[in-house]
Amino acid sequence: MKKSRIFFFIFNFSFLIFNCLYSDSWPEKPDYDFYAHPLLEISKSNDRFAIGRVIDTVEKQEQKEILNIKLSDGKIVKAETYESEVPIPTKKGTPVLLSRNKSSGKAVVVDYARSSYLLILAGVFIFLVLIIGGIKKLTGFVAICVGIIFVIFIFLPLILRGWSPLFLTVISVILITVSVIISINGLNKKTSSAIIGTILSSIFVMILGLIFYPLAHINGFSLEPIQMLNYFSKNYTSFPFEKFSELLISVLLIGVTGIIIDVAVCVASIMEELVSKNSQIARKQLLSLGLKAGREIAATVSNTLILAYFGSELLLILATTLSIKSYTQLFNNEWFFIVAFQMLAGSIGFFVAVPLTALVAGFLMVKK
Amino acid sequence: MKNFLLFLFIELLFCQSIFADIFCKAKVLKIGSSEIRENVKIEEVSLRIISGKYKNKTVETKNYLWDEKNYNTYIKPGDTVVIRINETIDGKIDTVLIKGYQREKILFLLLLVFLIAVFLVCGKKGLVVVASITATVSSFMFLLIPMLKNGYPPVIACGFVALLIALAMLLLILGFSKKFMASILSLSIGMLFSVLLSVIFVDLTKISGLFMEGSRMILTATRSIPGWTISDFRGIIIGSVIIAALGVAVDIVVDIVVGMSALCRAKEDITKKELMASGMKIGRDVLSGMLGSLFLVFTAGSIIMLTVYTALKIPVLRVINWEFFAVVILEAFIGSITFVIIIPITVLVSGLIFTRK
Repeated sequence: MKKSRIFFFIFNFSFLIFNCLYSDSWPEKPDYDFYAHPLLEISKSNDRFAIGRVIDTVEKQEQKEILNIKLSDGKIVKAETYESEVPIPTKKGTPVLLSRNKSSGKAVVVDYARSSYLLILAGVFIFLVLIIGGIKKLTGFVAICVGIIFVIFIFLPLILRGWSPLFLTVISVILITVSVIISINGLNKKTSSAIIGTILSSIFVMILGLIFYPLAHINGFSLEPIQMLNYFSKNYTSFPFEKFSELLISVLLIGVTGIIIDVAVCVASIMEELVSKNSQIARKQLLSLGLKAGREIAATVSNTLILAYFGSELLLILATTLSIKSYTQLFNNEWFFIVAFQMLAGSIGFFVAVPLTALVAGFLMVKK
Repeated sequence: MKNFLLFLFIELLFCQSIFADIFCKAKVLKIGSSEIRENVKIEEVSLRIISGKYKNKTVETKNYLWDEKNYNTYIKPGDTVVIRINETIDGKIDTVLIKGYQREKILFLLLLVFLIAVFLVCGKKGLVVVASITATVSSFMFLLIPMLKNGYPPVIACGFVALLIALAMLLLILGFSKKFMASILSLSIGMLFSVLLSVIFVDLTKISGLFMEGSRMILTATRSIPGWTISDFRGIIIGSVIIAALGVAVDIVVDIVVGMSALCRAKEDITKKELMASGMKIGRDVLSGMLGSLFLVFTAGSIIMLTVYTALKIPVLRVINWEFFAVVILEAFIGSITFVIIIPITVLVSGLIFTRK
């Protein structure tokens, strides 16, 4: 019963998204039925989750089964499946996710367990990097992972306690930039100019966001996750979250940092090479040569960000364009503005990174 | 189940009403009396429509201002807003709703800032950049999405469009040459590899694609419009992996091919082995910088949802087994794997092509 309810709500709430993307002047209270969201049920129920493998079927009823499941610590428990429109096939050996009620101990199969396969995929990736790039190349990746873990486990809880997302984003961008660049290349004039270049261009992107989001009245309320965050943090946590447009700017900044770092490092290493070939080079000449080389880099990277965003949002883009007919509707849509802004402002970020890094490197590497 | 069908029915009705709607811009003439209820203030607004079929017509509507201020559209006389007009069957205005602020001008301003940045930094080369971005965006808008709408298998449609974009980008960057041949060949092999990998892992992790943001919207929309059939959500997910991987892959392929061809030109009698060794060295250098970029893009994309989970204290074990989370991880990792595996492929292919007499 519970399962079918969860599935039902997922469907039902996607219907709500449909509603949201149109963000009319709402004739009904906009978030009036979030109180029944399946996430809240999980949050309140306090169930514990465990991963196990199906051993065999004990009993088969019309719409549900009772299964024997071996948990990862070797214990065997009985669990039943939910009835739902999209049933989970329970062949022997399928890894499943169980939810276990703390007081009654009753176990229910909630979902497939996917984490083990994701770990395998991560293993394949690390193995390939080790073979092709060697252990030194892995350090940059480890640095990024540390940055991501910092963002998820320190940054997010802090913004929910009322810290400013913008301030925390600047800190995490600086942290990620410094750790990634130094872990790959060590600390020298090249890396310090790349770091300063990256941070300056990130701040430029941030300023763009701070100017344009208020101009276009962007607060993210046509996105379902933002509405959920608003409703849940007001009703179920002690700190109501308010700074939605700042959060959207953080999303933009963190997404674009990686590519800005790449461009800045490329420009800085070209400048260093130029200086090492001709140590008497004048600053002006160095700058113009560096800019020329940086141009090529920025031109080849220009499509990367756009493709990455298109890839990650393909389903949503498709869903929106299916229902959007006129250009008036599309170009004034809040969601479209956010996606377009991420692509364009992100690209502006790494284009700006070329002259900024070249300038910093010119001042750091050459005396006059 | 009965409930579910009932809701589906309501959704369908709702959908159809949306598709019969007209969106246009209107100017606020004056704001009349307002009525305050429990948690909402309702303003009487009169508007003059300034675009579309009903141009220059004056209409009356209500603007709902809730106590939750983020949902509201605040207007004053003289502002331009976007409105939604619902027509009756015989083509008269039935209801008018205020949809939201006008944003197209600001979008245009942003585009202008972008173009200025591109041309300031890149000079003449800016034309190439603008051309390749236009090619990318328009092949998505005018090729990929219509193809998907008309029911082509998503993997094939996405693969085809990705190949087309790669062709356009490489032609713009490299021109038609040996370098171009080498890079397009290595890209295709690399892309095939990433499709294979995503098919395997989408199957292993039992991703249905039905519970992604947007899937349900697509299902509802396609049901209400005859001739549109999109049902292969797994295919769309595999397709989006291909597209996300393409961008980074093109970068690294171009870097390696250009470097290797320069080596060839500098030293005519270079052996295959030497050439490949230096190709690998170039590839390794590029690798370290770009390795994490995709991860950051995808982390950024899921930050808001992760904030919701953190606020509700959802157990980590539940989150990492969720379908949408699995898709994000799959996309990031398979994109990055493609990026790594394409280095030896490119080195091998261009080594063979460049040293052939």
